[in-house]
Amino acid sequence: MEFELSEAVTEARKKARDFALKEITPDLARKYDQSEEYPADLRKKAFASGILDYSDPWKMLVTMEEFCRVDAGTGIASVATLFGMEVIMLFGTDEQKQVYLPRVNSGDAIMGLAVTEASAGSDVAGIKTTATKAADGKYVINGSKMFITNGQLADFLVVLTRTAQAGEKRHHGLSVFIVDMNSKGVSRNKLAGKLGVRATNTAEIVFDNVEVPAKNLVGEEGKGFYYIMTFFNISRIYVAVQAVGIAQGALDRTLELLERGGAGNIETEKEEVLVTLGEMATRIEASRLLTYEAASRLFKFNPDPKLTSMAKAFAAETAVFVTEKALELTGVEGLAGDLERSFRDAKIMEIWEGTSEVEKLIIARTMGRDRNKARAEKGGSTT
Amino acid sequence: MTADEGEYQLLRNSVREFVQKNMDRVAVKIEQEGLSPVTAKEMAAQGFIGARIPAEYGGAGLDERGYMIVLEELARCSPSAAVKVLITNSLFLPLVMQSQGGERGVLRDVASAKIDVTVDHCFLLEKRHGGLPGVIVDGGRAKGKADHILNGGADEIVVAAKDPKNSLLLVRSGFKVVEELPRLGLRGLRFVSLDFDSTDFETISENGSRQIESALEAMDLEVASVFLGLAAGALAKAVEYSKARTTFEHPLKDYQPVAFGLSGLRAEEEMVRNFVYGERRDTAAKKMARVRAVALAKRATNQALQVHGGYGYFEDFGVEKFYRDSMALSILFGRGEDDMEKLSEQVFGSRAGFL
Repeated sequence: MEFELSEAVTEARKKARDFALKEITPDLARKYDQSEEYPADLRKKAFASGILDYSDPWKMLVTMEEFCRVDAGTGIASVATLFGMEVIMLFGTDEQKQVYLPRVNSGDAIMGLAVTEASAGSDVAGIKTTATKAADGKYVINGSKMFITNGQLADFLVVLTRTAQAGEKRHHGLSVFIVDMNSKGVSRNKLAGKLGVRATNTAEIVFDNVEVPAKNLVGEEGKGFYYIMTFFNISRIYVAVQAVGIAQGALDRTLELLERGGAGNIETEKEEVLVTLGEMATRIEASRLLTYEAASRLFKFNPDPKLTSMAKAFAAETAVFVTEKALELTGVEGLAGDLERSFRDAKIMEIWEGTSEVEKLIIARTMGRDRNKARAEKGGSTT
Repeated sequence: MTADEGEYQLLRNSVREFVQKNMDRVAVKIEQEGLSPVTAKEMAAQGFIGARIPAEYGGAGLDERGYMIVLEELARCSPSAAVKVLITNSLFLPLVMQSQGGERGVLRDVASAKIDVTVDHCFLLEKRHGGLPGVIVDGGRAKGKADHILNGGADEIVVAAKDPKNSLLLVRSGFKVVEELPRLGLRGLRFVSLDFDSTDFETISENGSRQIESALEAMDLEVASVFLGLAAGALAKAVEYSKARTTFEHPLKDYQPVAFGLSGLRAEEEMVRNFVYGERRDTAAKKMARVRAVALAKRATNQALQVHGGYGYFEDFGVEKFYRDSMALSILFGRGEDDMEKLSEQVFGSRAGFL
């Protein structure tokens, strides 16, 4: 099997890399990392340059990879202003698509997805935020959301709520709404002090009797859990590619620093260094191939959640492994340079959009389910 | 428990009590604003800053084991605080004690935290770039730049000079911070580049680079103690969190990956502790202790953060600092390749692992 990206995507990758290298300088990346501010100007520049083409998922994927290769914090902050868009694209009404998506695609609006709560992270069905239908047909939202990317900046959020009491199945009775962030009763608090990706905006959102028109309900009432799980199977591919970018960037810098010191020739490095470099490069390439394979299926509307989880977990662990090895190999110089930031940025990849443990459970349970299904089809026992 | 063991346990308890009373509440602040002079004075009053400094110079004069207990217990809360004590007692002190002149007099002010001190040791870790010091002595002036100085806000500093005798200098003034460097870890201490133009210095001895390297080589167990404390602090937080945090209607601790992962690491923590404080004190054992403590700290801090999920990624929960600190410390004091070469030499009985 040969795996090559189209000319158009290859060209998009080159443009993204050129832009990132030119605009996301080490000084700029360090500035936003230290201040924990959102790089609004960088985002505007990226849109103005035409490289953020949300209409082509492959272009988005390679753009995310190349931005994260240079700097994950400012890179993710610039590209991920569409976070949650697929929920509207796949399950929203025509009116919702027309009202909200063009504004995000043009860069005029920022959006986000609000699922996680203080007491419900991996356990999505454990959310407590409620949306209650009022006599006038509107819904009233109460509750709070935690760790919301773009939370303080977003013009609107896609919010998961509980619209019916949890029955026997906890994931029933959940619904998704589009909430205008200028609505009365919405308040947001920036969460500061992150380990990494510090240029991204993270907030806690409180909904205090927030009225939402019925037309803002996405899809069917009570189907929210399925919509969000479908979304995670998409967003995990973008997290995987963020991790690939971080790892590749760390390897790039490691090679540069090794060449700058000593004999200036990687080939003559000691064997322990060479073996480590070989392992770093192999894991990165394996992560990239897994991610592209999962993306390829998804973008052909034939997603494979098991493969997606494999890509996300493996790429995330690769980013953590590679950035650690990068610091070990480059020592004090790496520590006093940009590699320390890569090390801090990498860790979130193992946490957001499903921890590595959750991904591995998905992989194993999917295998089990597939085997049971196959056995049932053959007429055998499923136990 | 022998009488000695009882005394060590009392010491451990008293350090832990001090940490709980005085440092836990300011642990996040130490990361954000640095270790304050007030906290340093409180540590000095307990005898921690001058833990190994002889009593005749105002220090606590602790033996090796007592000193290691102090380092471990401080690192459980604030690795930065532990490293400040480490720099003072395992680097600065042995170098200054070589002096035949009046330089030892400074120790009294060091022990009381009246003045803060550090040592330029990072140049030795940069062998790819020659591993040479950056300060030159010429005509009674010490001039030049030292690139990576930990605890760089100190009042006085020991440096090796790039002169024919490779003099070891105690520089009292005439240096300034020219760059604050990115700080992955140990944020309680400044990490800086210093510019020197000083006539206010004294020569401690010759062969300064070798003297500093010897001090670094002699601190295996002390460094292992800091890594051990760091691992223990992170794991303790993870164990507590996994009891309190509920997901899918069960505490995290009820899930096998969490429980087995943390329990296995706690077992390793105990084994490393037994070895670090054990009977063996030969060179190979010390090196083994250091290498295993570093490896444990890296895995334990990673796992502790992972158990905390999104909360662990924020400084308020006080667990991400252990992850940063273990990595930073492993570079600044871990000496990865050197440690492994020396350990290999011990294992094989001759030089090994150098190709």
